[in-house]
Amino acid sequence: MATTAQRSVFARYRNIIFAVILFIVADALVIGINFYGTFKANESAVSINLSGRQRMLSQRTTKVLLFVMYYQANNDEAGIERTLKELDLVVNLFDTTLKGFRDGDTVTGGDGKKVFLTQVDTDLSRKIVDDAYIIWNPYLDRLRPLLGNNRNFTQAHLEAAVSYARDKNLDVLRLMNDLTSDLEMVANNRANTLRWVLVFGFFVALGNFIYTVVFSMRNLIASDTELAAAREETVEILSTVREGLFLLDKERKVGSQFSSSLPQILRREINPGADFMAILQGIVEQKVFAAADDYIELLLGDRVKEALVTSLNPLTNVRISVQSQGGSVQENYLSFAFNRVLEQGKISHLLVTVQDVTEQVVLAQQLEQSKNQAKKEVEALLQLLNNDFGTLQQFISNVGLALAKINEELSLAQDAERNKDRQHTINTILRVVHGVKGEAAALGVDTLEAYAHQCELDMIAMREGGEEITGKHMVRISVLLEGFYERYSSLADIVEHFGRGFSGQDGAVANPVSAAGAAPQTNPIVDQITSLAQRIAKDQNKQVEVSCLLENLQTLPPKVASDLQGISIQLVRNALVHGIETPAERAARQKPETGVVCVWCEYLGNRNYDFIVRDDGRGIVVDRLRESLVNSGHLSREDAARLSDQEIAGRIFRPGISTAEIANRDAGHGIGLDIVLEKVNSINGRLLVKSRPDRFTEFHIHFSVAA
Amino acid sequence: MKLLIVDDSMIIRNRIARVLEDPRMSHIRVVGMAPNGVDAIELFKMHKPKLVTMDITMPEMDGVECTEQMVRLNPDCNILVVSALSDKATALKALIKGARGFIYKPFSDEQLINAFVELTNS
Amino acid sequence: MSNVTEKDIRSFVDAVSGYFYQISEEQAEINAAFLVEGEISATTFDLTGYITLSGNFSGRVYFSAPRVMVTRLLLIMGEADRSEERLLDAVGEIANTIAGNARKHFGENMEISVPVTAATEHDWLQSVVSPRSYVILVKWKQYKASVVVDIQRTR
Repeated sequence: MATTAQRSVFARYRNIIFAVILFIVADALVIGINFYGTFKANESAVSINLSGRQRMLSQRTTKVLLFVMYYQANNDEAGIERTLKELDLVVNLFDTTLKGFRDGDTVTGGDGKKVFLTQVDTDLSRKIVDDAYIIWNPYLDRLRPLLGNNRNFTQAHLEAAVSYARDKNLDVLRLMNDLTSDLEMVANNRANTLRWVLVFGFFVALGNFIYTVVFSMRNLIASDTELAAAREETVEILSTVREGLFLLDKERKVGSQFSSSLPQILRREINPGADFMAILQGIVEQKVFAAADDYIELLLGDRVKEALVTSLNPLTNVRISVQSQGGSVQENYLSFAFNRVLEQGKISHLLVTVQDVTEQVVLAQQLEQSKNQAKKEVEALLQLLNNDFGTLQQFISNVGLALAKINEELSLAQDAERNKDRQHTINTILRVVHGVKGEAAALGVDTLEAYAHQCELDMIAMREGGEEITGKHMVRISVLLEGFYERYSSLADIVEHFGRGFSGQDGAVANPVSAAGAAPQTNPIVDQITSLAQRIAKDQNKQVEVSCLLENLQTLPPKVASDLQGISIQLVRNALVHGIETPAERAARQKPETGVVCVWCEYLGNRNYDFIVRDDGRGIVVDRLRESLVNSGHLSREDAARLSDQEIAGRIFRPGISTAEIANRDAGHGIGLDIVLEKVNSINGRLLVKSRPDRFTEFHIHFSVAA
Repeated sequence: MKLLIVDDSMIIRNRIARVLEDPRMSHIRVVGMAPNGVDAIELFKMHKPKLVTMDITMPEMDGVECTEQMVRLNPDCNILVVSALSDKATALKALIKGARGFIYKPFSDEQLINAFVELTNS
Repeated sequence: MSNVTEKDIRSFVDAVSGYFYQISEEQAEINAAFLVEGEISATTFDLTGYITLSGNFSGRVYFSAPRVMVTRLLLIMGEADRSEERLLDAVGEIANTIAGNARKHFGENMEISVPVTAATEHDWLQSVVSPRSYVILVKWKQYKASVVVDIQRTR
């Protein structure tokens, strides 16, 4: 495209350039000829003038000689003297002029000034001059005694000269006449030639002029009109396009014409000639800027193929941050497109198009997010498939109940009168959420586990925020609960969907609780506890072996079994985070690097059971707990000193107590043991905690089951 | 027109060679395939190909350095960088060193053919 | 009820709080918030006004209060007429302030209807609104009223 435009520009000017050159050459030629001709005509005029004077001088010589003779006869001395002087002058003039005609020489002109007389150059005039000399030489010999200051002549000399003069007078006159005519003829010929040259030159110029007017001008006017139209169009386009458009030159400066929307899109004032790279540097990240610099350099160079590099443009959907007037940083997304502009086949500029693509990018991000969400759901589904179906149904039902419980707590809070009551609401809800988190983690339902963790963090922030808990916090919790419900219901849908597929095939799989009496088989709760323990151990860089003996659990009523399951999840989590040490720490204490956690349920007869969770970790270090209680403000230093070790240890079951150094999703928020306590209460159990520093911690729950 | 294929993946090398069996690409003849930059330079000196497809991340010598050396050996050679999305900044470096164009991996047959058409008409 | 944020909910509730403050210089404060789900204790009142939203969100926002509370409100306003009609007018007015705040909060892209009012039965809440709608209880003096947010993001 650009190259054809270049060609047409050249074609447009080629004709007129030729016309102009032709005109100058023709003119120079005519002027040259004219100048030469004028010069020659000047010469001719001198020659003609002087040859006419020769004619006069020849007659004058004769006349003066006759006067000398007359004064001689009358003895008029003064007359003789005057006329001889004149003779001197006339003869000398004639002689030098004739010599000028023969050889070319400077002579005295008609006005007494020196002029250059050119040699005669036609055959005829040369012959005339030669003939003249044949007569003039003897004539001069005879005249010589009468010439000069110390002349000395006799009557005989005088008479000889006079008689020669009388004899040859007409011949000399005739010769000089002929010379004049010949010179006049030459001059006429020259003048004629010059006239013709001028006429010819005039016609050449006229032709040239007509050509220029008729052909070139027509083309020129046509293309000028086009150009004007195009320019108008450009201005029009530039002021109406919504994209930012501008030309970037090789020095990377913004061209003089750019679309009016450009400053708005770039969110800054743009002046023609502004340094584009400086503008860019101010709005994009350094890495993007460096890549953009490379990219622009490539396009301005002629090595790469434009079409084969556009995919590398680093300035597509690029995030820019601009300081707004308020001082806040605004984020937008822009796309810059660069196109080469060619002039005579060479890259002269880049045409840059800038678009604000914030809306598109945000939409794309949202799409990506929902895609990710869908992907996560599929992952969750795959995770779920690892579990026994009956366990899943149980889990779904547990979560449903837990969420209903949270909602109930929220609605009951309407009667809360004081801050403390709402604190209580939050703590209750936190316990429920923590329970859900534990079960979700045990089943590997990451989405729910992560969300539950997020909810926990939010609520802990409310609790610890130091602010009074008000209805506003309740609104926030209800929104969290809604999110929970949303995740829960999509999960429940999936499980229900699968349930339909399962129940048709194998009843035993669908309900493991009913299969409890059958031969020993892998216990889903054991799998849960083991995998949870291993996952936490991995997160904490610890090694653990889990030993479970839980067959008895399956003979218990579902509600009790479910509570014990919840208890074991919290206690195993606790054991891994607080009890079991890192391998290095264990080695330093002469313990095996791999820790051991045991969970078992023992039937004592008479409907009595023991449920025990024990780890061989560092034990409950009462001093450390005491310190932690003081530091977290749960106890005053005086109270801490006053309370017995047992009393301090008992505090671990209160909400908000934790000794984990770093809070993460597994521990550190001080929720967990209060859940255990709640569940122990709900099965009417009795809880004992035994511990020896550096040896073990054991949670011992004694309970009985009604008939 | 002679072509040298440089890529550490055999699958990609064969893929490029197969695309060139298209009748529109009959003027291009594969004279060599190299799995790394060092072999590529040897083959480049041996066959003096006009066209090269160049991977970026390769063992021994990467595509950027390989491009630089080839352009030094023959400034008229046409190098097409064939690279993955994540190599964007590095691909730009190869272009700065004198490659003529770039296409993403993975590519469709049409994309590769179009790239060769663009590369060979000057 | 997806994608409704705390801010969205607060924009409705603040309208109510503001209204009561304007009349009585006593704020109506949020007392509790929960979802319409499962067995929730009776929180239904006998005078209800609602507005209908369409646009980026669609659905309804209800304001529901006990007769005695609205009567007290009219009393403070110095309104002699305390007929059923006048009580419903007052509820409609509050629903209207919710609409005004919603317009400010959601901007141009929302269409908001004029309030509709009705005397409501005891169990209207569970039978009328979608599951998991938000119920926000506000307390003014010793009375409680509710703002029920039953809207969904449509795009």
